[in-house]
Amino acid sequence: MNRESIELRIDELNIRKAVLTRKLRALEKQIEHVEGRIEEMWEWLDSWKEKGEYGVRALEGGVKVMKLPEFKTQAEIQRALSGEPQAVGGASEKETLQAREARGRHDAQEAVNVLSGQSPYDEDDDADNRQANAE
Amino acid sequence: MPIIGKQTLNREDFSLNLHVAYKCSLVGANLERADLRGKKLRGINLTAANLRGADLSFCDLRDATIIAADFSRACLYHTNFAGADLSSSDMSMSYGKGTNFHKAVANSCMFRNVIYKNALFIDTDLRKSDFFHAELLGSRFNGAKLDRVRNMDTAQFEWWLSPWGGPQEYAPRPGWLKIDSSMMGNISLQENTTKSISGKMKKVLETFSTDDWWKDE
Repeated sequence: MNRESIELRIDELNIRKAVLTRKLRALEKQIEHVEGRIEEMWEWLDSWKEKGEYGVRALEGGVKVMKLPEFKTQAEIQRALSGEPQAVGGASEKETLQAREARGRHDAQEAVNVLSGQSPYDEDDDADNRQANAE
Repeated sequence: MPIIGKQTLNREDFSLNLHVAYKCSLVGANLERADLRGKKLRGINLTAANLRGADLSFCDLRDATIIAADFSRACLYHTNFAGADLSSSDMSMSYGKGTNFHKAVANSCMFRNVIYKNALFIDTDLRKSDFFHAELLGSRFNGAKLDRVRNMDTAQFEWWLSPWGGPQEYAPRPGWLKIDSSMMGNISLQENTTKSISGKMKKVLETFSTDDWWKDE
């Protein structure tokens, strides 16, 4: 071995050391991040034990994951997953559709009356007139 | 025993064909504005398919593989995506009242400006999905994975209705009725077309009255 080859070997080892140091720093950062995630998970678990809910999770940059609406009981979930139409107010889909159509017709007639300058459409008056004509 | 043409199939062949049919592939298919209402497409592979503006209402897409498909402006009324893989699909501006995403994988999906009233995101994987200005009135998220979901703060989950009638507000107002589910449940009817049309007509006529134009001249 001559002097030059030894110097070259030292340079090579120095470069290798620098690369390994960089990798080590990156790994240290990753370890720190994982430790933070573990702490966060423990905080969530503690929150669940103390308050019965996970609360709002804060992310980097002030972003928060909000608590989204959920069904309260398993029965509600099963009923929703059954895929049946869920009309509100106890009315069936057909009844609701009929009511909507009736309202639509009424509104359309009223709009036509307003546009043509006649008095606003009144369903009760119309029914009375029809009864009178029938009699 | 099933007979196809002159060939008679035994039980094994039939089960194989059934398997092929069950997992049939429409990868990259162009189904833009296609009418697929009520079709039974369980287990289909629609990866990278173009379904822009397609009508998929009441369609059965359970256990389907629909990775990176384009559902922009599609009608997904009562579509059943239970167990389907919708990773990286684009659902922008789609309409999906009562859509079922039970146990579906919908990570990195784009739900921008969608109207998903009373949709079911139960046990759905929604990681990294984008809900920018989504209308999610009545939607439920039991057990959904929501890590790194984007723009959920811009989505709407509640409406406030005026006691004197009129259009709804998305911000809370004192004295107004808060609703967290669609008044119509998961049924979709023409609920907005004729709503107080006569009142609007009256206002328009009052604003643009020809008598006023005559007076000005």
